[in-house]
Amino acid sequence: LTVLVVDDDPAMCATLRGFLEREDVTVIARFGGNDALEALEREHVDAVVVDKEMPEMNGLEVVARARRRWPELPIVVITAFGGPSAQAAARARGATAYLEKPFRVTELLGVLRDLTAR
Amino acid sequence: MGLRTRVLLIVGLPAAVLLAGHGLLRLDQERSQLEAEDQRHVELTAKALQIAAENALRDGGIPAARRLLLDLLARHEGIDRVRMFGGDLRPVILSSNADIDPRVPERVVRSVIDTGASYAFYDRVGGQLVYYYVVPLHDGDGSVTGSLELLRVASRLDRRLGEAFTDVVVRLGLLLAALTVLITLVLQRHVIRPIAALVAGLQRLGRGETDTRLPVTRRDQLGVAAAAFNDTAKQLGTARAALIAESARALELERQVQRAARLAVAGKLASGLAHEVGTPLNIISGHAEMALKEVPAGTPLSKDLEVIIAQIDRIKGIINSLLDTVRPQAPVPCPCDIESVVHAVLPLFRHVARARGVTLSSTIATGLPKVICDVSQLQQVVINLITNALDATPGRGRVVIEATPQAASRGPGVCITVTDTGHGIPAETLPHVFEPFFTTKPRGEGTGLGLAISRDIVVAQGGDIRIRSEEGRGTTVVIWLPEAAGDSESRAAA
Repeated sequence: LTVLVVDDDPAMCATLRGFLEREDVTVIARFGGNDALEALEREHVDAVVVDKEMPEMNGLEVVARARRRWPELPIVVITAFGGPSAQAAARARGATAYLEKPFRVTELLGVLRDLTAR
Repeated sequence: MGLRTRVLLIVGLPAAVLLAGHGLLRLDQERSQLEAEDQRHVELTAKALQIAAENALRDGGIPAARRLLLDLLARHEGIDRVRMFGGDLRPVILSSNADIDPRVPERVVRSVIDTGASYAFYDRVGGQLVYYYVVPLHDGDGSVTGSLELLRVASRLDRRLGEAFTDVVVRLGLLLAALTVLITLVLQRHVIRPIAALVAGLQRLGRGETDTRLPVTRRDQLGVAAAAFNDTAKQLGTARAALIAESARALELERQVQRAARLAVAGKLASGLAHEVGTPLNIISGHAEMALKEVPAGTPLSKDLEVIIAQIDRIKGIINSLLDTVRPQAPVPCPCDIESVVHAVLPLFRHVARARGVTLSSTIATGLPKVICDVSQLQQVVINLITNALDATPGRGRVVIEATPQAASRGPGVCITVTDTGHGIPAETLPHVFEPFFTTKPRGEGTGLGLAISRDIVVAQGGDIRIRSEEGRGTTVVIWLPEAAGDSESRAAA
């Protein structure tokens, strides 16, 4: 299982990578939207975890672009205390799942396994 | 000078002058009448004495005449002295009741003897007014042999005239006193009391007792005044009630708007903070979860890690409930009439603008299409922009709100501009004005969220917001909002 993690906060990326790799998930980490889209073009990725708020390119923009290119790709949007409107915005752009920070990493793992098993 | 004194003077003085004139005229008439009576009395007495004296002289000579004259004089009141003169002008008989100047009016006596005609005249003798009457005396063949002088002290007339004068003065005084009492009573009842009631009513009205009413019992001008007072008081009451209701409404709106503004600021602050702490919390809990997987269950370390994870969950719960409280209610976009929004908001700033000497005006194009927005959010935007404009504009400046229909690339819409003649924004700060917490206002006066919140609201409705500014010349903020779907068609149909 290969997951692309996109978050502008390196510590967050490191945390997710640390946890997921212990669970035998291959993690590709990117800190910006353009890098992430480029990685998607080049690497095989089973699922994407993307932060909603990023300075260079908004997470929702990344979701929209990836969704146009790969309609079946599972994409999980994570954001800090976004509320119902953020969730609705994420779903509207094509996010498959939505998690609010702080979430349980085990919960994220469960969601990823569910989405890729289908 | 009071009304009573004035009317008394105006009416009383001419009345007193008229009455006094009338009294003097009466006194003059009285004097003439008394004098005429006096003269007639003296004349008649003289005629009687003349005939009696002529007969006595003829029959018994001077002694008989003297007796007769003395006798007659005792019986005729009002004659103070009788003298008989012979041809040589010496008094031959004298009878006198009074001490009077004994000089003989020779010219007169001579003239009477010479002409045979009676002569009457007044003379002032020793401070006394004296009436002389001189008649000729004839002998048997009809020639004049002497004269008879009758004298009456006319000053006695003065005493009678004095009595008449006192009488006139007393009457005049009584009349004036009666007039004064009458005028006072009439004034008191018909003028002063109604005016006092009117004044008392006006004073009560001035204290705000608009339910004050005066009794309208008269049909004169004061009655009309009372009726007019009642009308005015009624209208004032109505206007006052309307004013109170209007200001209460404005106050309530202001309170709502301020509450919404405070909530918006609190919401922005809380969500900003929540966003910032979300990731670090996630990192802590993530690492705790990882560590928990490494240690055997049931050990003290695993319990510690569980506590960390549980407390992170707790913090998440606290922040979520805080956000639920301050997060603005989900906006309800519906067709909004910009004119009514602007007209609801403008009165809130009238007193601030007036206090700062800034002219605040609005120009709303007629037939403006409605825009899609949440009404209270649109109010919030307009309030934020006017607040900024007023804060930036010194005295004698102008703040103008305009709204015109304008089509953009995204379709038909409406432009709302807020223009001020204030100090403007330096070019280097202009790019930052929409950033949250960016403010150039003195510490404690601005939150730096007004434009950020306004932009969020406008952008959420598919509109945009732009700002133009020139330092020292002023600033213009332009908002564009899309027209409510079908609004043009419905207006065209209507």
